[in-house]
Amino acid sequence: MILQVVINTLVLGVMYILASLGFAFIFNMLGSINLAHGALYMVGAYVCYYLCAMFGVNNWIAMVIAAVLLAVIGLLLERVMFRPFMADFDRIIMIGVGLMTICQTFCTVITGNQALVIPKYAEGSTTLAGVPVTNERILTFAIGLVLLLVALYIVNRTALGRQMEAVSQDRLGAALQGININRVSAIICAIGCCLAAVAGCFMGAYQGLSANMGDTMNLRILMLVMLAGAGSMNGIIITGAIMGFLDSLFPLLLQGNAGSAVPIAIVVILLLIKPKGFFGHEM
Amino acid sequence: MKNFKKFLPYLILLVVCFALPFLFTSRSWIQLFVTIVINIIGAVSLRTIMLSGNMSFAHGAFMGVGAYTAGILALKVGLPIFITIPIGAVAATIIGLITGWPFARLKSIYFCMGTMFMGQAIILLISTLDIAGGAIGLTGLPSTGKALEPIADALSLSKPQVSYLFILLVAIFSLAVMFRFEHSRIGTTLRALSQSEDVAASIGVNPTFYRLLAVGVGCFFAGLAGACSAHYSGNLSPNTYTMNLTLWLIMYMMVGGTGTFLGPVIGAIVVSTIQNIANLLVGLSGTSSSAAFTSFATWVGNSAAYTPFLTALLLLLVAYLLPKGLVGIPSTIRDARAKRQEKKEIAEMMKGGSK
Repeated sequence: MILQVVINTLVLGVMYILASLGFAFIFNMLGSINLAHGALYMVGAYVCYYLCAMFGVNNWIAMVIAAVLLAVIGLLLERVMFRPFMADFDRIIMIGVGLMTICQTFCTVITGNQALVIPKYAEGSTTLAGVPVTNERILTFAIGLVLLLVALYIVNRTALGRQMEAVSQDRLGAALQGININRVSAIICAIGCCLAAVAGCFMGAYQGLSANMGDTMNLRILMLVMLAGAGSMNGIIITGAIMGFLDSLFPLLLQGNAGSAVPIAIVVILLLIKPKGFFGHEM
Repeated sequence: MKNFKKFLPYLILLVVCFALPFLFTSRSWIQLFVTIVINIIGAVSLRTIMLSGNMSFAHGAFMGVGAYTAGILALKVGLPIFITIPIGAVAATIIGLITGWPFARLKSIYFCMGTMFMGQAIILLISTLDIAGGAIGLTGLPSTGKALEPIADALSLSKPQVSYLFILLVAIFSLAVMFRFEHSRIGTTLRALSQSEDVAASIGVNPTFYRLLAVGVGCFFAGLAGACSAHYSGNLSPNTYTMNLTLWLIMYMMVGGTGTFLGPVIGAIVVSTIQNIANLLVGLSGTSSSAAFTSFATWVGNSAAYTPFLTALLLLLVAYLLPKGLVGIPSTIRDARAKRQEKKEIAEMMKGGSK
């Protein structure tokens, strides 16, 4: 059981972090809460599934197409949603709920009540320390980790990352230094939505598709980012590991809804102990 | 006279509200009216909490606490609804105050999201209790129609009509109390807190106390609304009171406009009508004699899954076009007209200058 928890923690943690990086980029840089981020993650998974099921596309290619499509949607959203209403909390929330409703209704209407699963990315299983682990999970973890490392490299080591940091600290100051704020925010929206789509594609194969998968992930994304705190990108790695651990341990220990209630309660308590998140600053 | 003019819209609304069940006697119409009235209480009580500047994302959960308390008391203890509904409201207040006190530490966005997680946790924890019916919820609650049967018989009204009137009276009481609360000294203090907590604290306002007061009042009426809706429909399930309910309560408030007391009322009326339009038409088609209407209603019923598109469209339209919400339409139009006039004048001046 311990090994199972460890493996689930690793896989879930990486997927949570991938899905929430885009949200965190947008939240830290633009100060907007994008409630539709979970819906975008769901749309990525559905696009991947329908490409596989209806056009017979290989699921790896379908994943790439879904990621590119979501990146384009991200660019579009930056233009019509985040740029005009950047710090306008009320209207960003309204547009977020509107988008969420549209995506959810669309997915409900086209799928009905059938249980859908994206075809497996890998067959068979490997024995690790005497316990069989499906190759699927190992692959999910490995690819997720690589993407995560790339994203972290971009944030911490490249010019774009430094520009993001500058914009999130002081927009006007960054603009005065010659940084093209709009270009930077467009790029991060595209990258963020792209990563969410990839997470959706993997989770669609791991847990299956449903019209409320976006809601569940939305809550996880918000918990991750709030626990890490505003302005902290690297903190997400640690809170992602915590959330992954809570979500893989408690459903095994407790039955029914208690398994999903206790992790949320623990996050609330952690947030009450550290009111600005673990690594955050005041908003 | 000035006062009279100020209260005229409220008076008209009141008369219309009382006349509605007599004009539209069908059961599905009354179902819609009750939904709207409950949503109005929810949205206005949410705005009462928001007066202090903190947006609570746990409001749906407090409606759930009120509903569950009333439901458990009615089913397991057998109390009549006139006792369970107030106790439900008080229970929501107590839970609100207990959870609101530690949450006073959290600021702005952390408060919003923290309360959102807490609301979700509360509902999930309630759904693990055996006494609350687990993940299925409770069924067979004593309904308001049954409890009010003597009054209905005496006035020769139908059960849905008398339940609607009862819930309407509860709503009028709630709105009157919250209106007084907002326009009292406490309301002004809360506004001061929302503008600048530091300045308010420096002149001797205790921020935590006043915020908790607002939370207490807001949660009381949320619990009242939840208990009323549970007793009207006769059953309750944990899926009703999740994050989505809270988000929609916030949407009612924002679509109407957060600036005025009337805003959430208008927002709740418009948005919940659109949300329930398909149910209403399907319900009406059973009683209608017109064949064209019946086929239209069947078509609507078949495409009922698409109605959320309408609500989403409304949200996007309001977000892009009406910065002050639906109540702000007149002032938005006035502003736009004044701007156009100004532009015209400037253009004329420029023309005159170039001559």
